[in-house]
Amino acid sequence: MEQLVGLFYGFSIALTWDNLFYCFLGTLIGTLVGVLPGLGPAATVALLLPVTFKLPPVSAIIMLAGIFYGAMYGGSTTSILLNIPGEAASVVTCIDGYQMALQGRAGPALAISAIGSFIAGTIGIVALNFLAPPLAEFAVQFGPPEYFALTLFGLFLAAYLASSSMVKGLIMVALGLLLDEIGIDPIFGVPRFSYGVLPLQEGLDFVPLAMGLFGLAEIFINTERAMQTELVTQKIGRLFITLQDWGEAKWATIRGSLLGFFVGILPGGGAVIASLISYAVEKRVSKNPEKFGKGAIEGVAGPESANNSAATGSFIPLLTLGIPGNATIAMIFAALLIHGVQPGPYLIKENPEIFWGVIASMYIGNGFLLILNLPLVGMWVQVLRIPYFILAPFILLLCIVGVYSTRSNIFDIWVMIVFGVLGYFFRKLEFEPGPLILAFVLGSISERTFRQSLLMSKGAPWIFFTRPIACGLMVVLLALIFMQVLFLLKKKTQSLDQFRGAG
Amino acid sequence: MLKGPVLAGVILLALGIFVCHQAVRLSLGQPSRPGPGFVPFGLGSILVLLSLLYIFHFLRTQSGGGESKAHRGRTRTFLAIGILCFCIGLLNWLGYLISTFLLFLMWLAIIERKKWYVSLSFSLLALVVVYYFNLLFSVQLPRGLLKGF
Repeated sequence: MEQLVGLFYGFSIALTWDNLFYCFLGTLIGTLVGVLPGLGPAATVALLLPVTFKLPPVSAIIMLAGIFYGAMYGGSTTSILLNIPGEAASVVTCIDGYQMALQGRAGPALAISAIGSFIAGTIGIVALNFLAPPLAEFAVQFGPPEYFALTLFGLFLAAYLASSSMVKGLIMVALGLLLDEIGIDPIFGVPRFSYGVLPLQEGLDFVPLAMGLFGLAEIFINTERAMQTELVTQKIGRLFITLQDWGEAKWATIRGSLLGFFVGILPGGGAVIASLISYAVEKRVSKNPEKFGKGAIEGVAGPESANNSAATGSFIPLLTLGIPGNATIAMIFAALLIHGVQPGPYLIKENPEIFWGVIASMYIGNGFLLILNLPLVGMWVQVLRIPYFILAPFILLLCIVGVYSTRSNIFDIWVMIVFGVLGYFFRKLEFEPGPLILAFVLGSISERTFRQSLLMSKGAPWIFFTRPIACGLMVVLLALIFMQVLFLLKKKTQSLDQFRGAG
Repeated sequence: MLKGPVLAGVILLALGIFVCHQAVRLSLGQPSRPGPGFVPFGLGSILVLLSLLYIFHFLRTQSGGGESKAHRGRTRTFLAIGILCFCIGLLNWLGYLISTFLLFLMWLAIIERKKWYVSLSFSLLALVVVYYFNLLFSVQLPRGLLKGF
């Protein structure tokens, strides 16, 4: 009941003309970002962060959230029509979506991905609506040891899930935490790693770091690849699905929605992993797994539903615990902090307009997205004709102006360039920037709570194992590490056996 | 010559050692009262350990080849970085309008190898866009030589 009252209150905020406009703008930009290859939602939220500074916090978050879940809708369009994923969470959609397009079924493929996304989005929002408030109440009991255990758990999962290699993921986490160490020590007030450079004493700003690692690095990588935009030649055909199509896709949609939501809640989870798992699950449960890769509609419906509900699910740790679970949510976390709003268990009590306003706006945004992605899909196909050589310098310009506008400081532009170059090398060496940005955002929370916990226990590290919630998280974390080490040792033994066998 | 990943590993290793050294200078404190260098020292040590693991893992599993094709693209990227640094270096002196114009012109003509009239027209368009963007959001970008505008 409390949730319904909150939701009505949320609608009273989300349905004002201003917020409707920002919700529409967010979903529109999100779809555009999803459609255009080479610019993901994390980069776009970073690019548009400075634009939201002058907006009221609730409008800013409504818009940024719209970009995130909007990108999940738009991402499928290029996957299906061009075999190029618009963003990472739509990579698997290419496999069967493009095959469907080649068979002249681009219309049904686009339709099922939009309908699946709508259903998943709605399931995700309803679950968020009803799960977030009790979780927030539970999180009120958290003290420094619990928060530290949670951030550690989140960072470990981010390194584990978001990277191709565990060691690379952990290196990025360590670098992100170290970058957050630059500036004044929060307890002793001593400057650390700033070497007399005044802007560094304030600590590195999140905006140039994120824009460099995501926006600029993306441009540098694409410059190297000399991206060519192919003209869309396939005929889209009828934009609806038959009853037979729906019969084949409905369970994939529902499974994808539920699975995506729970993967989204996990720290380090998110839309990309949800779509990959969903594809694997659909292939496994299918009576005709041989159809996958040859244009199976379930191969489009499952992952597209999963990535949408995961995007919604990932708002749960942010809104209830104040812990972002992936890079895009970390940007929204930073946006909340910039607007003077502390996300976490008290958000629902202290800023109910943001908590409920954003949730209500998601219902509305989902409706906007259905319209934007079904009847207007032709418009997005035309957008794909914009050559990248025009887009790239304009994105660059947006990065420069955006970074400068935050503190009117050229130093920040240099910081962005440095991180753009670093981000370029990270991508070349297959280091995912997501865990770094997440660690940078969580760095201050984890250091503060770690030191507070040690002060509380007079230096005894057992404090993390004597309190039930912290202990539970630490035990799961240690079990995960143990399993990972066991897995690596097993792999090593197997390769040694193979080597001996070959010898 | 060191391969990219090994070089990256060595740089990370050096960074880890440097952080540990600096952290000791900042004072580590006691576990019951951690000093400002306590957490950086821990992080630096973890980075040392991880970079060693990374280097050993790469040396064990490395495979050669595939370098020459990437070289041409890399030159374009380094050129792009150079152009960006050049224009930002001059931003304070030339002002945002001339710097934007130069950035677009050089980007389109040198990186994208577009014809001069295409480069020029898009650079002029960018000039107009950034002028109105600045006006609309009152960003206060440096005006440099064109102070009156």
